[in-house]
Amino acid sequence: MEQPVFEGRPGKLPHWASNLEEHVDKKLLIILRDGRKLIGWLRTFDQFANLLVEHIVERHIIFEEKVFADIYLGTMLIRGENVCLFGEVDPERQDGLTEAPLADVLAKEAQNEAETGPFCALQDLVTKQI
Amino acid sequence: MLFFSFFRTLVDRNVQVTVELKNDLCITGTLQSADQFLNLKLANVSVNDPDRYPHLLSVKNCFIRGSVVRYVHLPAHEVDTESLQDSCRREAKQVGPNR
Repeated sequence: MEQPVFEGRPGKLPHWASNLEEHVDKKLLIILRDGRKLIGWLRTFDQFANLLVEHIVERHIIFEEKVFADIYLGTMLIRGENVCLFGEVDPERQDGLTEAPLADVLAKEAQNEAETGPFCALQDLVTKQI
Repeated sequence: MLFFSFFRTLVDRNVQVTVELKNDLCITGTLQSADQFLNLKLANVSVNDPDRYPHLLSVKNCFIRGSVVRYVHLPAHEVDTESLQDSCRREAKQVGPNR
């Protein structure tokens, strides 16, 4: 049976684990490895950065047109290995985006993917000289 | 533990770094904390390359999972290479020649 992670330091995280306590009950923007942007309220976490998040919306952003659309996903446990980064959403910082109809945003996103997607790998070969 | 200690010294000195992730995103900010997994926390994040910026427009501070980091771009003058080399030799001695 594995040692409990936080044994010996009741109420305190081990010194080696990033303190995510300060982010609990805060609204976070979470970016996943596949590029998805989730926004929700962090409730619990563990040493693998597995996150339990409530009231998640998946935000699709078209940066060129400064519009976004949300898909409500509810409560999820996000496996830590899929997390790239997350940050607290600062309500005072305006991101200058306006909400648009979901169908339009998804269509534009699919269009962008079609334009850049298949050629990305080739471009990488040329520019990065892999 | 060497780079964990190294990052902790950078945290103490409030060094500004640019973290390049494996998905090509680049984030600049002040190192706020690091842990044993080299997860990083950056304060006052900003954009340096709009194409590689993940729309963090309303985020001031962020947590970056260590496993997704490709590079941490450091200011050269903040890195004491001699001290790092000494630490490295000491750690190697502790670990022993058989490893």
